[in-house]
Amino acid sequence: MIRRSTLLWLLAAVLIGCGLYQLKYEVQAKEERLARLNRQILQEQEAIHVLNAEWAFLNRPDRLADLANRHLEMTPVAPAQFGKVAAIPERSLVPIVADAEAPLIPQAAAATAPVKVATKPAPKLQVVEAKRSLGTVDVHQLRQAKPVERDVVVIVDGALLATVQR
Amino acid sequence: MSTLAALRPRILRPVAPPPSRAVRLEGAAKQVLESSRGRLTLVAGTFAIAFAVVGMRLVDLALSKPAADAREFELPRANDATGYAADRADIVDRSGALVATSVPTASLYADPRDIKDAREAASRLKTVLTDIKAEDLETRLAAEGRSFVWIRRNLTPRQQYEINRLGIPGFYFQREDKRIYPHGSLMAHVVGFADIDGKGLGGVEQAIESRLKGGREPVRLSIDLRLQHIVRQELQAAITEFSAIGGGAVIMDARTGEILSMVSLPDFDPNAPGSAPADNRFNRNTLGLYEMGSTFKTFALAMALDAGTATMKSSFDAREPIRISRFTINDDHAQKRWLTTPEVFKHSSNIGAAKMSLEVGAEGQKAFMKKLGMLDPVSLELPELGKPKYPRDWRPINVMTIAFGHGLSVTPIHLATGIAAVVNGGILHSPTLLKRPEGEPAPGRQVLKPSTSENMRRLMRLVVENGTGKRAEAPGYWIGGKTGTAEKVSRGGYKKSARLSSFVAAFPIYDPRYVVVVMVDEPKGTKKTHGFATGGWVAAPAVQRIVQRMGPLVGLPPVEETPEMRRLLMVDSLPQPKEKSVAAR
Repeated sequence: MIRRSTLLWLLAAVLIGCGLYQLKYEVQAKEERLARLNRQILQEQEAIHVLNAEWAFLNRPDRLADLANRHLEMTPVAPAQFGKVAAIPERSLVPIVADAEAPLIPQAAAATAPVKVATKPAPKLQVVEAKRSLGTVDVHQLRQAKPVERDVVVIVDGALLATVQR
Repeated sequence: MSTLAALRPRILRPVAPPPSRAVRLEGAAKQVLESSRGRLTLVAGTFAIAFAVVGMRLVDLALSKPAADAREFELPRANDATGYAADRADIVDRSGALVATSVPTASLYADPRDIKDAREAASRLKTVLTDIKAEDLETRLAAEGRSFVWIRRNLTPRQQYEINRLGIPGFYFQREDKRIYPHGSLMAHVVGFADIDGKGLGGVEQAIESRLKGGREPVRLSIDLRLQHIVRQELQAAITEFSAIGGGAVIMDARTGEILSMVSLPDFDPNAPGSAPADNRFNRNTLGLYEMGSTFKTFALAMALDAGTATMKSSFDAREPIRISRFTINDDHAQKRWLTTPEVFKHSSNIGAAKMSLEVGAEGQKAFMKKLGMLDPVSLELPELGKPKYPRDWRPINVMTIAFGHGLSVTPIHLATGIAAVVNGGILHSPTLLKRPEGEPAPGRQVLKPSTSENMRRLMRLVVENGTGKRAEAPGYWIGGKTGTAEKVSRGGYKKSARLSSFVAAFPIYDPRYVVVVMVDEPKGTKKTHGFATGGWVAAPAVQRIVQRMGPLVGLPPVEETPEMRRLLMVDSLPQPKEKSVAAR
């Protein structure tokens, strides 16, 4: 009876001992790995730090200017190269037909693109000019200045298609 | 054996095996048994408590989280996200570009006790460090009673490898940080430099030593590297063109006092500060005290307008030079007639500015200059700060000369700071080399009326539009400014040939964002300038080029004039007839 329990305890002790050692070695290995990784991170950080310094050195403005001079066909931005967004002709469909009762689509335009037409009633209108395209038209200017005698202009996709007179 | 047994205390005597049946013991035997049982209980109890404590601790360890940093001292720990931990914080420009950093290097030292043959060691080491003196090294290596001798600090990785390969015993490497400046001389006077032990010896490096030392967060300067490059190039071009001995230039944010660029030429390479003459380390912008000349008329007029002793419609008799004791005050661009306030500024009339200042008086002028910070060193994150020189007793002659920038010596930074206050609505911001936090209003104090500032902007625009500063005109950028040409003081008087030509500008003048000061030291006239070397010929074109190049970079496109601008810049009192308006005298 006594012997059996002693044996059992002994066995348990041996097993636990083995397990403990196993665990200890595992932990040790993990710690070594952690230390190694940490060292590695430190090295990498140091390398990044040095590379940052080199990056700054390679990005000296005078060096970049020299390189750009030699390899790029570019010059510094001149003040004359600035423009306003508002000065760019709009490309979208711009319905400027206003106060027109009947859909007022000149024959030429009708075939090419849909033209949005306002539906308000208006007096008689008469097509004065109708062209397929006048090249790129500055809508911004057109809106403000151009239609003086011509009350209505039809523009599709940036191109003046028709001017209409009342 | 029996004697030994007899000597033993009674209780430890082996007890007979228990009988198979319960036996009642009486007398002495019972007593022994009971006392031993009591002791056993005591021992067992102690052990039980001990085990319970151990068990509890086990449970505690199993359940609780490991303490943070518990392993700090056992393992090399990686740094946090900020990366490499140098012993000195980095310095970066306002957009984060690296300006000064510390990189790890190896330094070579020797332990003379470990060196067997100093001569051989020295000669072998010389094969790698070729510039070292073998004899000198030998005596140091043979030094008795020393255990540490520096051989060479901050080796290159290649040198370290080669020395390692030599395998001479007694030589060791020490890891050290070396301060490097990737941009070389570009920021020399701003950043300064640090010595071999990483101690700041000039510039920002010295001024904020405590913040840099051991700091982890990079220090962000207000300097913009790109502008710095432009300014340095253009200033150098002006110096070369006019064979000048040097120059200084500053760009300041008129609304915050942040210095966006500060160049002093000639300069030096902070990576090797000893390689340039010591004079090159002189920062003209903060340490150099100069009589600024006509640019100071900006302050003279601002003072008179602010005090109310002159208005935009006043006029001043500039027909005759002023004679006071043995001095004569004359005009460089003499008009020989009555001049209105705008005309005094436009033609840069010394006589007009002098008379205007006399009306304010010595007290008023001194107080005004004090208010603008012209009598004290500026507060700036630099150790090299010049203390202005001004007359001890402020006599009328001083009032008149100070009106056109003689007799009061300040640094170009003083000038830029003052001009910023004059154009920005009258708020004086202390200059700074460190970036101010964005979105927060910069600290400042009102030193001029907003209306004075508005008038000064008109006057400064006038100078560029059709005054002495025409060569600074950059279409679309609306530069306003003032030229200055001062004769340099030499022993016993002023030297006609040694001049200081400068130009101060603010743009866009209808709502100033930037103040630009360019100063060229002792320029000589060229054929192209018809022999002139004045501020209008030398410094104004440099300002123009700087503004045209920096405009696109800082997001300021050239703009066409609007009616609103016309109103802001109009000088309505200009076309006044000269002889009629005598009223102001």
